[in-house]
Amino acid sequence: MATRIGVDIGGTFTDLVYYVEETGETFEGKVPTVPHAPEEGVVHAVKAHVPPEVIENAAFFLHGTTVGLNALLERRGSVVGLITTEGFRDVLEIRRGDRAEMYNLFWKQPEPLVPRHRRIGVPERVMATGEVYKPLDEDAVRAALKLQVADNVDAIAVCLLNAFANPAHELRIEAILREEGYAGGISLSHRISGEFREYERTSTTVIDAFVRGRMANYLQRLDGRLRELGFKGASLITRSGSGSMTFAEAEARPFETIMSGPVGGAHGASELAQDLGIDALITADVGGTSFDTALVLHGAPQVLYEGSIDGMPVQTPWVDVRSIGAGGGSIAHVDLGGLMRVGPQSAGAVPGPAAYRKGGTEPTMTDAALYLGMLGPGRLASGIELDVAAAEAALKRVGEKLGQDVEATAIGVMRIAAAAMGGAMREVTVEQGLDPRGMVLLPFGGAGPLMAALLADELRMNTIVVPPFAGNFSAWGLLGADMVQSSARTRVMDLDEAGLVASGGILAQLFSEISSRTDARTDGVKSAKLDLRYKGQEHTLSVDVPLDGKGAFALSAEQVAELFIAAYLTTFGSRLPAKVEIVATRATYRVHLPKRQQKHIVTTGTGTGAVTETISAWSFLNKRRMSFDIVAREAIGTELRGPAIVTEATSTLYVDDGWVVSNGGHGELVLKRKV
Amino acid sequence: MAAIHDPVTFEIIQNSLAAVSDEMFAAMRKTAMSAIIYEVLDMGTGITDAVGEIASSGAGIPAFVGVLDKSVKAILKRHPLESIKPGDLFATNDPFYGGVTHLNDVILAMPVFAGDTIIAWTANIAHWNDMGGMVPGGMSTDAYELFQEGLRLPAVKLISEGVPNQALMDVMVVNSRLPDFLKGDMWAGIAAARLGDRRLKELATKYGRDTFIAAMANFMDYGEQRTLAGLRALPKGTYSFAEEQDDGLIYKVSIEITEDKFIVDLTDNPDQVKGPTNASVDGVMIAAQMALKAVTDPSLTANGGTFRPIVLKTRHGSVFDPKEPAAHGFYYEVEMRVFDVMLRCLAQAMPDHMAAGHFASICGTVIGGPHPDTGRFFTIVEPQMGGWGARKGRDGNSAIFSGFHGETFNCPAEIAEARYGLDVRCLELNPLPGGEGQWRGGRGIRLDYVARADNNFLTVGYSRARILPWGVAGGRDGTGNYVEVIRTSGEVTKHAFATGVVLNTGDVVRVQTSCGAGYGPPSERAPESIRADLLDGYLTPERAEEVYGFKP
Repeated sequence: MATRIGVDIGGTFTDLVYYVEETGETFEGKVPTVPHAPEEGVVHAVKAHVPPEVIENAAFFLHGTTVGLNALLERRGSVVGLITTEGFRDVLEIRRGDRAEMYNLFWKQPEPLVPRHRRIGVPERVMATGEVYKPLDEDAVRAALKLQVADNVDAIAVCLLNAFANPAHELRIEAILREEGYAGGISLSHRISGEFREYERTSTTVIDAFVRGRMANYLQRLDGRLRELGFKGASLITRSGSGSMTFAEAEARPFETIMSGPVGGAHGASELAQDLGIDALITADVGGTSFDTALVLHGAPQVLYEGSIDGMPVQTPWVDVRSIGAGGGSIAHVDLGGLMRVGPQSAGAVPGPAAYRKGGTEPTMTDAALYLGMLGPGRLASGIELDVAAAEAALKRVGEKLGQDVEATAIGVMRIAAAAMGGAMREVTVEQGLDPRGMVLLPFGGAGPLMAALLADELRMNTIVVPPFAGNFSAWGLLGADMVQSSARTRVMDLDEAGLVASGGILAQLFSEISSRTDARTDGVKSAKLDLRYKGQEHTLSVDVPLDGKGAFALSAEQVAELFIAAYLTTFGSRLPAKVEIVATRATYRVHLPKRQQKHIVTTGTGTGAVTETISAWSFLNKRRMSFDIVAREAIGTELRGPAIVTEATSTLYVDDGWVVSNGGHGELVLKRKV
Repeated sequence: MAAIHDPVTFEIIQNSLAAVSDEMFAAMRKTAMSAIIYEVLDMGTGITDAVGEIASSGAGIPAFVGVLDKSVKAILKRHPLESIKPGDLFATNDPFYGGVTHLNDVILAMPVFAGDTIIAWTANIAHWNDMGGMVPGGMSTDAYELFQEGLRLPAVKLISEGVPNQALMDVMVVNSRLPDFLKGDMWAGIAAARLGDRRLKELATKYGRDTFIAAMANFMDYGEQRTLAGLRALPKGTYSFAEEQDDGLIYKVSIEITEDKFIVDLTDNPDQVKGPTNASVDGVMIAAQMALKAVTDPSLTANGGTFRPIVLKTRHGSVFDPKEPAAHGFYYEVEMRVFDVMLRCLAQAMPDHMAAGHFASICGTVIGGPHPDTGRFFTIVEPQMGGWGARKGRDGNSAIFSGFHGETFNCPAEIAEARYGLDVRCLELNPLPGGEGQWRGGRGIRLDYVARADNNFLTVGYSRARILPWGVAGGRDGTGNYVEVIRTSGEVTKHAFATGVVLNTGDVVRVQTSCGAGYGPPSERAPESIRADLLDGYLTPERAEEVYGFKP
């Protein structure tokens, strides 16, 4: 009962991977994305690639989407009204007063999602302790509703000051709105985030209200179309903070899915890390316009508790995936001071790199790689023949501005792109106090395998694992997503026995709240984290605290403090003579999906080692051109020594001199530096 | 190993310098003890080359970027090269010894050695809550000598070859009203400087010392090229401007723009004043640097080379180049004012480019006293947000921090209430009339703090209280910055520049910051924009009729 279908919608392609329980086989497919109706792209992919009997038998449909994100970025969402504490209606517009570009006196602040006339304050006040200072003026709530309805709102967000400490007034407002006959969406801040900082919580609540209608529509349409195709299983969507949730729960808590897009890759990396026994790996997902990187430690991605979209904060768990605007389509240009830059502008799929001959004339990373021979002869799976002469002409124009020949220009493009990507990889490792040199690099996405050797050089890494389905790996990763629910609450207390008991009480409440949500399950595993800090500091570290069989803390306050001190030492390299305090309690409930059998369609170690042809390509190790063997992935025998170019359906692997490739046990290729 | 002059290696090293600056910034922010550092981000981090030219700086306050280089240069001036050893760390806060700003801003700087050669410095600056002085928090509008503003650290060694100078640290600790905060913030700064030191050593090892040094030098040249490209696009000539200040002084500037120089002449200005509104010549240089940056290249690149084209002329003994022991507590208001004068001066050269006046004050607000719940002494030190001026084609921004701030964040009400002994009753855009025009200024804020205990005190240092943000091309002036203290008796007093105003339980401190000024005649404003402002409550119907002649 665990046949499953995973579909990941990207900017250009909708990727599909499915797994059949009976045979243990995995298959992949790709169709063009349908931007105006993404669910149709999903349906096309399923129809084109999945046999009807597999659809009927599938237990799970797993999905990663940018529908919510795009609604936000394009400002196409519900008409939202906000009800807030009197005196604080402008929190959403004032933000935190910062200016993103510090030298730019002409910077323009972003438009708030809710204009001032739909932000209405009502008399009421709860203090940080939860004590009610001023009772709720219920008539003012009714009056506010009239104004909102007159303004044709589709959704109402309610965010009152200190509601995380006592939600009574928010709950009463919800009740009044319903009593008065309001039938639209309501988002209450304390249900969305139990954490302090009023601007961040208001922003999250408003975003939830803004994407709610669109997300519900999309999920209902998609689910309906899947049912038409004969699907009878459970539909799941990935959460920004890892794991997945049912469509029904996603409709109730849409803000949790905003960053579901890049999470599939991090999941896949986690599953592979567990299967292969890799303790620490760094992902490198290189697409057409962007580069995503994440750290996977002990088989799990790193999770942060606040993210930001287009300058708007979102207080929700968030897999720490760092993105920069660098990918195969990134354009090389010369800036004001005479330095070459690569990206963030991208040629995208249209007009595309110059070598595509679809109208692009500016040189991209793909053009540089092609010119240097790194893409082999340049025949893509989609049937496009890349044009080296067009790439050369485009590179030449930029090189002339720098007084460099084409070769030097192309090398520069690759190194600058690699350095920028390396910088993002440093953020998730070195800047967390972790040394990447002993870690494994996991490249995927269309151009990941192409960049792998250069990225390994950037961080002086010595092992690269190229996963199976490298070009579709994000969709593959969706197939292993567990179902996860989580909740958190801020309450600042000393970390002593009394504090831990109080925190334990909050934990029990959080678990009970999770179990009262839509589609709650009872067959899961509980876990908890505490946000801790030295007294006097503001910033916290989240520490995993083990639970006993009943879901209560299994450690003493002193033992928890020791965990914190060890984590602080790793992160900041010091310990302080100050007391420790609890800031927030976090509960997570995880239902494991049945594990996939470990069998993949890629053959292992049986290839002939046949070299189909050779090409003159640039070796970054030797700083000169050399003859590279061109080898098909399935032809790799027990060992392949670089320099070589390995071709497969959805990506090309560049193996510099100095690397040795072998087949791993799960369909992956393992590259190690020659000692 | 010989230097490799390869543009790509250079760029990689240069990007790494930025990454290291940011990494120091993040580490310091996360480990600091004071909200003004970790929440408001009144701090900065940076790297200079061996002789103290700024190479890179972390995010944060643009006005702090130009401080660290001057501090390192002052340290080098005071300490012979042979006396500076690996593991040393220096501290300065004194504007007469490379401290640039005021005594609350403590700069920590550490030489980075490759072998026995200094290849760079890592440094940071942060507002330490209390360095002693005549009033809590150090800044008093009544001060007339630097000695009254806190303990002076004249570019001294705080750590010698890795060993802390315990005697000096003890002196610093006992001179502070908030010794725990001082210790916490000091060690956060030390850890950040040491972190940067480790990273730079790794870079020099990876690429070779000479390549590293060459890459820094190349980066400076690159910064200069960017500025020169911007200068070439500006109209050449000499422009002058004079403006009266709240205290009646007249500030004058003359700026000459040539093909490769930006000459700022401040010689003809008033004598230094007796109060704390003087700025060091280093501090005034920062205003010139920011003005140059704004008109040539607002990108994030800023290093020693960027500012090479500046020539600054001042008169020793003037308010912009005072003699010891002039008080400096509110130096930043002086820098902001002279920065405004420079922008207004430059507006003559590029009238369509520059904006109308903004609220342009740090609006530093200090409230302190016994905490009602614990009885322990607390202080909240907050800059305020305000409205910015309109420019041709666009209304001004509402409620952001002044031009001297950048990535600066306000303290959320939910945090302020949980941490300090006061309530926050209101934070919203204020509806005060002003700043109208074809394009209108952004709104200032109204922020109400309520005292929860007796015998709290309030100190404010707001400028642009009397002389308002200037309208351009027929646009109306903005309003002024001020604070009202509303007593439980109903009595109201108004303040802009005051120290030690006593607050008792229930008294309200109402901060009202200015709206920005307008651009173009109000009669030209589009009716749909007026209607939108009415709908959103940024404008009253009476004012709409009075200023715009608008009847719905």
